[in-house]
Amino acid sequence: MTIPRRNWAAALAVLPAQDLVSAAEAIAATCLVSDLVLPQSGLALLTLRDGAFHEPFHLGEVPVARAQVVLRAPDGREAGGGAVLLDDRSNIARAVAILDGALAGRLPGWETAAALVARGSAARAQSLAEYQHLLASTRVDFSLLGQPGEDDDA
Amino acid sequence: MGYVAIKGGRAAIDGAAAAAEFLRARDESGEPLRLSAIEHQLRLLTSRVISEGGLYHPRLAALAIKQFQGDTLEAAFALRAYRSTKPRLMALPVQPSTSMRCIRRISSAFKDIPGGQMIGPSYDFALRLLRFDLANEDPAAFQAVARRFLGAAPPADLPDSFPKVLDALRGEGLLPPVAASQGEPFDITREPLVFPVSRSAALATMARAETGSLLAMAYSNMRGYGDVHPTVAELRVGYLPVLVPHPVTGEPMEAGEVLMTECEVVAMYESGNPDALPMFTLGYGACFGHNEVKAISMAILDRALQKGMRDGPENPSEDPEFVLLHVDGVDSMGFASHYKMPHYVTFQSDLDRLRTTQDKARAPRTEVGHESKL
Amino acid sequence: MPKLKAHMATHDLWLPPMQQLLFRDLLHAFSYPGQVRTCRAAEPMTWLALLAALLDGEVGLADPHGMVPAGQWPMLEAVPSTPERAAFIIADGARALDFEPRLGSLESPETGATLLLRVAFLGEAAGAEHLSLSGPGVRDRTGLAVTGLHPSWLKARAGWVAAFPLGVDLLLCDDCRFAALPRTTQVQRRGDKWDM
Repeated sequence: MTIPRRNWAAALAVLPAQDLVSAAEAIAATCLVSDLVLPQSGLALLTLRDGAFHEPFHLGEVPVARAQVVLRAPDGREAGGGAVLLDDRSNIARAVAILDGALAGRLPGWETAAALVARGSAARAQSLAEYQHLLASTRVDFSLLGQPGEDDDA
Repeated sequence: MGYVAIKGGRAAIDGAAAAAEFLRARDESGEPLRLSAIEHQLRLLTSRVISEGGLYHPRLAALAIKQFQGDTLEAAFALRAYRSTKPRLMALPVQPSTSMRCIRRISSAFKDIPGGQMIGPSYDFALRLLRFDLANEDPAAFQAVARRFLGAAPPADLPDSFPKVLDALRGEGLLPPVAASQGEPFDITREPLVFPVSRSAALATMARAETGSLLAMAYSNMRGYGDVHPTVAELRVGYLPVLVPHPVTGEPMEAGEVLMTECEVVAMYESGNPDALPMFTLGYGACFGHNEVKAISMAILDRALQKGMRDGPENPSEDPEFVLLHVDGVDSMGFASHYKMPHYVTFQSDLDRLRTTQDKARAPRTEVGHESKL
Repeated sequence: MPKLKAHMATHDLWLPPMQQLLFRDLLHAFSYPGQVRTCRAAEPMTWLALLAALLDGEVGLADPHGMVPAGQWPMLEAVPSTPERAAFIIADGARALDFEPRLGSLESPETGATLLLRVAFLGEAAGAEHLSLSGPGVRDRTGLAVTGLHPSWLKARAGWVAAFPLGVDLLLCDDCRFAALPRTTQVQRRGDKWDM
């Protein structure tokens, strides 16, 4: 798994909810899943530093869902999993936490989790490529200003 | 005269809801609006409602727009009402806005900025001529638009993020350095504004203010009821990654990204004191979603309010109480709308008082020495 | 999703239906001070069930006697705090009092602490201390029998609640029952000449 763990949740979050839930349920059928905190959704303030004076201020609120679990495989191996998502579905956060733990600990079912992370990463990469394309296709080339022979018509 | 009863009308109220639904559904196409259509094809409308609702939830903003038939004030209200039902779950670390994945980045003050200028998706240079080809848009042609745009992609070797123009100027010594202040920012969702307020309270209030209100106030300043002659140092639109500590590893992980608009304006300021040097002053505006007019207006008002808070306001746009108490769309729309609620008792007592006063004025004068009844 | 609900059944104390029922019971307990209520959650530490219903991430909890099991802190979500600053305090009522809780302020009397005290038994028992209660929510007088409450608590409480609206609200908890003593309740111990 070449994709770093800090990108797993964001990659999984773009996939259809049912795919995440099914994969998590499959892992939970084999491994014992314990919730360390109540999977919950709510709000958090998004805080930035302003560009003029670098003073912190709250831009507004974002939905967040959070879950933290411990997985125990039949052979006794344990792994912790967690997720915080900009989402209002706590069951998705829990599913992502289970996939995060299984993948990190190479527990039974980790291959499914890895495949989902790869699929989500590809989708994210596509989004990022689209942002880049919006920039690249609209880049201003000031060097073309003032060249001889240029029309003066507006 | 007895009190006028304010009971009854239940059937009429239920009927009003049904009447509004009837108008919403009276579309000859017979097709209900899909939320994705609102979110994408009306993305700027959705952006506006997201920022005025104060909650970054594009899908719910689209739903609110659909439910309230396009009324942005009501839709923002619905989003605020929704957020009031959710608990405050956690605190996020302060996010560095320099990590924004820009889709638009321009400067009108400086031509050569580190990383270059990219117009991005903009109507700034478009002719305001109606495109009648959009009237009966062919679905196949519609679907081909995205494919065609992406297919013509030049190789993109752009960086993931761009430094802020002002930071680059600071690095060159053209702007004074800033201390990273550590104060706790004001939370307008928990505390009311009690004047004088901090700048963070002003920024938070304006960030979820109604666009037209901010624009009008900023415009008054631009037109001369103020001294801010601004130039846009940088305007950027893009997706800000939101980083949080991973619950297990504690390492920063990405929880998602938020579309936002950010603007810094720079203005020359001369105090009128011949001994004082003229200097640059700065203003900052930011909001959820893609809303440039709002960010620019907010930046101008930030600059105006800084002056008003320091030297005392000379114009309405410099007066924090005048600006901050009148730009919230839910507050202002709510108050305007409440005038439609029955005020029968209030008005009845006004009428009574009017009649009494008029009767007194017409009555013959009492003799001197009599007590006059009030 | 059925799988999730089946899993969460082991945590039913933490699910909204149980929490709402517990909250209702707390409301009743505070409305009728001294009335002993049975905790309906299957949780031997009654006070933990009540804290589960009361707390969230926005409030502080002090645990000076180390009663909260380590694994329960993340579930409670409360911010660990000191007894002098916390909104909620859990303490062993058998031990002597050794801190000063928040009493609130005139502008914000609601910021006075809520103190949960674990006692051995609530109700008639050999060696029980008999308290006589009066005040809002009590018709004339009512009695409350408590075993295992160190005398320093009620003695200190007399001072805490002397300047209404400031004060501290108490919840006495044994293994399965609880009773509330809001700051407005006057408490007399049988045989004592002084009001608490």
